[in-house]
Formats: sequence, structure tokens, C-alpha cells
Amino acid sequence: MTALPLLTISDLRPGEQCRIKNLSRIDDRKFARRLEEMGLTCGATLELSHLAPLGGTIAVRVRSTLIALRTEDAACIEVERTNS
Amino acid sequence: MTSAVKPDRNSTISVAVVGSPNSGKTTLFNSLTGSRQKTGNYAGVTVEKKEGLLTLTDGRTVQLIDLPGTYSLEPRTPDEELTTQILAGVRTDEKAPDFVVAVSDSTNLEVNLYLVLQLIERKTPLLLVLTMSDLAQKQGVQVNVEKLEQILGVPVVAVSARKKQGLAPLIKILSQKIDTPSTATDVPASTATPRSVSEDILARYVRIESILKSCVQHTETLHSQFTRKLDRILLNRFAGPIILLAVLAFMFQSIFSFAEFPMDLIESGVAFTGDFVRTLLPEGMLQSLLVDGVIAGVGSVVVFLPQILILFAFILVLEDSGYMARATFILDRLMAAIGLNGRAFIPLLSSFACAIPGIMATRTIESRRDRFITILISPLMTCSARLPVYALLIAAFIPSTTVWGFVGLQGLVLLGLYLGAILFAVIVAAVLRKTLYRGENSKFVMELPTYKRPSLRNLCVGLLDRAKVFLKRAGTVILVTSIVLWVLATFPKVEAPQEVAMQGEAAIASYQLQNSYAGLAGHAIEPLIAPLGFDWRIGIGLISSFAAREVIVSTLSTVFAVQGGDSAETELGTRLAADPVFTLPTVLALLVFFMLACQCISTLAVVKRETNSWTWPMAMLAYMTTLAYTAAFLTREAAMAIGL
Repeated sequence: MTALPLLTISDLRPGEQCRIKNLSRIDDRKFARRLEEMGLTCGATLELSHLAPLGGTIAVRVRSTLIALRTEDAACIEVERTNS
Repeated sequence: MTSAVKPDRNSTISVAVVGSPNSGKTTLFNSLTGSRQKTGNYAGVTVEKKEGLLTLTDGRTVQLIDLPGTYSLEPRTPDEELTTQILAGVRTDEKAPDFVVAVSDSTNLEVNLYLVLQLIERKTPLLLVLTMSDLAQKQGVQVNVEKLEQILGVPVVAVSARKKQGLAPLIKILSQKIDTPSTATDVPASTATPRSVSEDILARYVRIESILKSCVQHTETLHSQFTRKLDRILLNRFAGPIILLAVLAFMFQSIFSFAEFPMDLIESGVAFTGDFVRTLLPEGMLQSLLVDGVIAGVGSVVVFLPQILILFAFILVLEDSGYMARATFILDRLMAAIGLNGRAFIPLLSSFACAIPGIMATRTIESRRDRFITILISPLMTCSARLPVYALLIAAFIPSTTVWGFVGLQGLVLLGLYLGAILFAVIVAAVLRKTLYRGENSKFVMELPTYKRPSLRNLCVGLLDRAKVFLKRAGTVILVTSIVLWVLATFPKVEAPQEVAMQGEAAIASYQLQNSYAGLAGHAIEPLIAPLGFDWRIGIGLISSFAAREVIVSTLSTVFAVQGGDSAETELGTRLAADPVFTLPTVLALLVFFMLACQCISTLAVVKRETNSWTWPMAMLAYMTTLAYTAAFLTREAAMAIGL
């Protein structure tokens, strides 16, 4: 498997699991910190659970909590695959 | 209820209830205080203050404060900041609590314990309450309370506030610990090398993971299987929106159909009270003031109580059940299109009942820009106070024919008014987004909590609170305005000349109103509103409707000297239809004016309170009046041009 240089949450398909690698690409540091406080820390396992019907928003499951995010922010969260 | 809370804050022991959002904090607070609570505002900020009384086992009464939910002590919203400030004791209007009841959801400990660890690190005297323990057991989650106590070094109590289990032990432990708060002993010593914020956060989660490993056993996945299954349907890309639409349709249908009976009841109650007072008092000024001014005026507002309560019943149940967050998720994209996020949905939806609760509900919006935009467009949503005006004018002027074979024209006009208002709100939001705080971007993150059976207690406490807020508004602003308007419409009492008096009582009343202060004011603004086709009588109506939009109906009744009674409204409609001023283009202009104008002093007062400045209410009044005037003018011109 060729390692993609930048895999982000927005590249995942529903049901896919991954591990959070890096949040430093989120410009708004306070926002990044809040994501971490809500459990999206580096190393945490994350699953893409739902895509909003109209797009633009996704729901991920981290630490058994379902969290809604915008795709533009999800695209800034680097992940690595775990179930391959 | 106000008297139940003692004002003497310094001598009373205060206990703060602190927890993450969705931790069951409010349910616990409601169970502990019951109806012995009151809501107010903190000075200088727009955060709602909820406090209540709790009696300890030794008979002492402590003051319980429900602090806004927060995920951490690093605040991101004004609400969260307040929680942090109060806990740190840096606010002048509220001393630091003597003790803290930290709340965590047993089924969601991993995320909820984060805040608890922060509190323990700051050596906050606390006890930890694990809520929803019954639910946790159902899900196969076993929490070893003694072990958790040992590891955290603070007392831990498992409760089920919904089932009233564990509340007595909680109060007992609180009574014991409140005087000798034992701060945690096992606080991890801060490392010598300074860590980054991210490393701090990670370290807490590593600790939580190890705590959970030793204290929590779960035979199933921690997250409720039920929630997963339900989400597969409710968040399905196809079924989800259809279900949401059905829920919203049912909600709106209920607001109008279920409210009809209680509204009729209130209306006849008001009429009965009026008639009763009329028989008690001799005819004269006092009788007129009470019956025509106070009772009729306040009654015209109180009649909306059923609609507001039904709307809030839906909102509270949807919120309590966890579905509201799903609705926010589904609609986020829609809101993003106008530059807001899904959180703006609830306030805007509430504004369809009344802009006041809607504006108050904007407190959950994190971004300042999003919040102000939401506040500014909230009063454009068609609130229930507009309905009597719409109902009167549509019934009297729009023929009840069907178009395209099956759609009623009257209903179509009403729908047009709703949609027109939404369209204007979208435009205004887009304009504001381009001008207001342009640099600020709003970020969106929201927890979708597990589904729960809504609690009846939460519903009752919530509805009682809303009813109080609404009636207080009706009881003060509207009462004062009703009296002022009565005075303006009654004085100076001129004697009608012989030729008018000969035409009967209605003509005398009309003549007297025309020559009253209200009449003079109506005449004074007539040149201003003449381009819209409005005359001085509509002018009086516009002035009086600043109290509340629907007041124009009762004012017009007075102007047209309609006698009270069951058929008063129909009678008024007939008189209006026969009046040469009320042509169809003018009526359409009036409808559009009411669709867009900010005819509501209470809304402006709430905006002032929420934004802490007169700038925003004044800006709101200015833009909405300009918009309403322009649109009404264009509507009338267009209607005349096509020969209506």
C-alpha cells in the first residue's frame, strides 16, 4: 500500500476507522484545542460515522462519543489508517 | 418562587453544579431543587443564571447554582467563560462557590471526566456525581464507584436523577463533605518540564483511559447500541431529512391546531372577565380603563401563551431526547449557506413562536458574529403575534377561493408571508455576513449525545420558566403600554357635535378617538405613511402595535368602534372591507409591512439585554423599519400596476 502523504478525515468513507495523527494544520488554535478537549487527541481512534444529507458536515465517533464537524475542518485533521 | 431564594448571598452556602454539556446536569439540578429555583441574569454578560434551594440532611439550606455546561476550563463561549470565572472566584457579582457538585454521564465518562480532572487539578472542593446510572447498567456499563473514589480522591455518588435513585445518598454525602471538603490528594504533580497545552490535554486523556480501565467494566460497546441503531435511520442521508421534515411539520401543525382550544378558552375567559368587571363597576372612566385598557390589552397577549408553550414543549422534548442535535447536524449545511451554523437553527425556529425566546436561545452560539447575525434576523421570522393581524386582513380581503384546483388562496397568501420573511432573512444575513466582523470565521463542533427518554420534570420546569418569562413580559410591558394607549386614546375627551352624535354611538367613539392624543399622533404621522396608502387610523394602529404587533387588531376595533363579543373580529373584518382606505393594494402593503417591521418593544428590550448595548436594538429597528417601508411601498405600487 502506498502511503499517502496526507490522509485526512475527509478522505474517509463512512464506517472507516483511523487514528488521529496531527491537528496542527487547523489554523484556529483555540478551536484545535477544543477538539482535543472533546477527545480528538493525537493517537485517538476515530470512525467516520455519518455524512450529513446536504454535505458539508460529518459526524465522527471518538472515545465513544459522536461529534459533528465541518468537512473543511475535518480536512485539516491528519489521520492514519488502522484497519488495513 | 422569588421569595424562596434568599437574597443574602454572603451567609448562605453556595454549591455549584458543574458538568459537560449533555452530562445530565440540568436534570440533576431540576431533581434536587424542584420548583424551588429561579432564573436571572449575571451582570454585564448575557448568560442566564439558574439557582435554586436544596435542604441538607441537617436541615440547613444551601444555594445551588446551575453553571453553564462546559467541556473544559479553557472557555470558548461567553457561557463557558462565566463558569470558569465563577469557579475561579474572579467575578464581583458572584462569590466562588463553597463546594462543587461535578456531574458526569456514566455512559459517557471518557469525555465527561476531562472537566472533572481539570477541577481536581485546581484543587476544587468537589464531589462527583455519576448520572444516568440506570441507563449505564442497561448498557452493560459497570462503574466501580469505590475504586473511582479511591483513584480520584473525591467522593463519588452514582445517581439516576430521572428515577430519583441515589439522590438521598447524594444529599447525605454533600451534607457531610460541605464543611470539611477534602481536596484530592492524588493530584499528579506538575512535571518539571513545561508542557504544551496539547500535551496537557493528552496527559489527561491518558489518565482517564487508565482510570476507566481499572474502574469500568462494559460488556457492550460503551456507546449505546440503541443510539447507533436509531442514528442509522435518523441520520440516514435519505430518511433523515424526510423524518426531520415530518417532525417539523407535525410541530407546526400542533402549534396551530392544539393551541386553538386553549386559545379560545383564554379569549372567552378574557371576555368573561371583561363583562364581569363591567357589571361590577359603574360605567365610567375606571370601568373603561380596566375593561378596554387593561383586560383587553393584556388578554390580547396572554392568548399566545398556548402556542408558545406548545412550541417550547416540542423544543424541550427534542432537546432532552437528543434529537435536536441531530436536527442541527442535518440542517447545518442549510444554515452554512447563509453563513451561520446548525446552532442558529434552534433560535430561528423558536422565533416562529416569539423572537424573545429565540433571541435568548442564541446564547449557545459560540461565534460572536454568528450570534449577532442570528439575533438581528430572528425578529424577521413570522412570530405568532403577527398571526392575528394576518388572520384579520387575509380573512377580510383575500377571497377564500382555490387556485390550481386544490390550494386555498388564503393559505397561499399566509404561506407567502412566511416564505417572504425567510427570504428577506436570508438576504439580510448574507449582507450582514459581508459587513459585520468580516474577519471572524465561525467554527463548528458539536456533540451528538445518546438518545434519552425525555424527562417530564425537565419539561415541566422548562415550560414553567418560559411561561413566567412570557407572562412577565405580558404583565409589565404590555400592561404599561395598554394603560398608556388607553390614556392616549381616551383623552382629551371631546364632546361630539350634534350631527355626529345623531349617527349613533359608533360614530361618537370614532369621533372621540380621532380627536384624542392617539388620533392626533396618527394624524401627525399620516404624511409619512401616506405613500403606503395608510391613513391616520392605520397610523394609530402602527403606533400602538409597537407594544405588540397584534395590538393593532384591538386598536382598529376601537377606531372602528366595534363592540366586543364573539363575532368582534369578523365584524371588524367586515368594516375594514367596506372602508374605502382599505383597498387590496393597501392591505397587501400592510401585510408586507407587518411581515418585516420590528413592531415590538419587548424584542428591542431583549436585544439590548442580550447584546449589552443600545447599538444593536437601534440598528435592528432602523434596518427593519426601512426594509418594511420600502417593501410595503413597492408592494402597493406593484399591486396597483397590475390592477389589483
